[in-house]
Amino acid sequence: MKTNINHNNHKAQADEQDLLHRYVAGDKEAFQELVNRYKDQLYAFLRRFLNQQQLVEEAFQETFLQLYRSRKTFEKDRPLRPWLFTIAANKARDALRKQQRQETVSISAMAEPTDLSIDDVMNSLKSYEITPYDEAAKAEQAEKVRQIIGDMPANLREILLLAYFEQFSYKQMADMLSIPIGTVKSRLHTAIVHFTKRWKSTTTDGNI
Amino acid sequence: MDTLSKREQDILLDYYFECADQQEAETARQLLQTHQGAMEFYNRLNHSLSALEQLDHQAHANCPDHLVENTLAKLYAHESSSGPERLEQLLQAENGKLVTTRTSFWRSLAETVAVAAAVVIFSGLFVPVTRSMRAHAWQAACESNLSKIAQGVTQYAGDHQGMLPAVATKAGNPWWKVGSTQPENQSNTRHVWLLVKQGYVGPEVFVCPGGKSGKLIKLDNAQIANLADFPNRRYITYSFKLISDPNMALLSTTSTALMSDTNPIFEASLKTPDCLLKNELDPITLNAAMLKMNSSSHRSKGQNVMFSDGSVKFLSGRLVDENDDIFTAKGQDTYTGTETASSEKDVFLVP
Repeated sequence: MKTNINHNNHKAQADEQDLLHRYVAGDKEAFQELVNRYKDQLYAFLRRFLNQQQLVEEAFQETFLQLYRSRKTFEKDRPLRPWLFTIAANKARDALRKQQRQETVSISAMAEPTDLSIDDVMNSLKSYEITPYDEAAKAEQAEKVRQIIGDMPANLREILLLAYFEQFSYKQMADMLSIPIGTVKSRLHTAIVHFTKRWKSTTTDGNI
Repeated sequence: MDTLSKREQDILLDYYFECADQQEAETARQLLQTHQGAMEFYNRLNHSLSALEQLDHQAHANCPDHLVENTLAKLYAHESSSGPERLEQLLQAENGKLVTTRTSFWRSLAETVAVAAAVVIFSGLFVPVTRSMRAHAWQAACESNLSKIAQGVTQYAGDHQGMLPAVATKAGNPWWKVGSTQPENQSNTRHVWLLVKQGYVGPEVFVCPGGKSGKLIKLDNAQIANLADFPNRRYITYSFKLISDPNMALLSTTSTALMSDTNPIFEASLKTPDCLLKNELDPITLNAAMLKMNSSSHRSKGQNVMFSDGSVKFLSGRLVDENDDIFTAKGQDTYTGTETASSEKDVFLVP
């Protein structure tokens, strides 16, 4: 079974290498195939990150515009997925900054690791919140999660989404964000604490 | 909660995010099996972060077709009409463009025309993937899952004198405690886990693609060998015929329902990890709405049901032979998770 999986992974990688070579050579079909291959992942990531349809669509388009524009300088042997997410995260941060400038409201300042302890937070979770049963309560809960994520500093939001949903390794995230692996870990740690504390306070306020 | 060292917490955290190396992963697995605090820490971490799954609630997870078409249209339409230099200018203009929260009438009109044109141009290049088509694809993938499980059940029965997979259990056990490590709590999923443990079916086919299980940590062979049940409800989104007496668990020669998408009546109660701390579910009394609910796995339109002859059918309702509701036990209106079917013929798929 493992052999088959490895075989399939190698095959997928070989397919992608072939596509990348064709894309670099100017093959439009190959480019479209790459877009089709990554569109859902990127769209989902941007939607979670930005949560505003207009910003999501602009960041999505700009990411692929950049991919297209970079075809002459793109390193063909480089894995595409981390590179695409790096661009998408940059575009998303740019979109937030532009919006911040326009609204002159501090949306998401950068935050660096604090001395918050995961242990403290975990210990504070004496009970779990109840998962709502009806659709209205679910929608309300979803909105609260979006709000917490939306209020998170961009660098914490980014690393939490990349680690939780996209499952990039520490090394990949360090390369993508140009930070040391130790900073990746501590930033992720802070992001977890940040999210958990706010989520916990929301649920214990009796709002859900 | 037993105290965990900082290093142990870090290892569990790395393991949760699948960033642990081989040695750390092994340490994490040992901790989860032997250290009560580790399991508690992991469950709390998982439960807190699984709230992130709500980000996808009521939202289209997949990229809308028009966005891809619009993106490609912008690239190629300009390129073909004006050449590469013009394209570069447009790309630079695109990157330098400020994000505005409102678009002008003319811009909206131009974009609408561009999208309409793009739809015509690219309709021959892209297969339209609608939400409905995706739902059908998930439904088909789910059917395929159940077919594989049916094959596993048939093979198991062939190897075990016609018996269904069943561990020692007795009537009145809490059949809903998926993932409980207590030997006296025999979840109804422990029976089906035998199919995984003994290599008849892979663990991945027990998760319906139409459901919202979110990120799951892949189980390796060592973990499977050490577990007595699916780790938790997210690893099995199907409900199985309730087995109260393993000696009576024969694979029927007639076609009876054996497994289906999640029983919707108990779904909400089982999503709370602290339910494992209780001996019984908070009583659930059936009402008219509950008697009509379909499984949530396929947008509540119906459920895939696997029968003992190996067939799988998508049913828009819950009734099988002689009006037997597959999600309730005959004559039972209130449930705490320890009920039994009224007879061997009464199909009751849980949890």
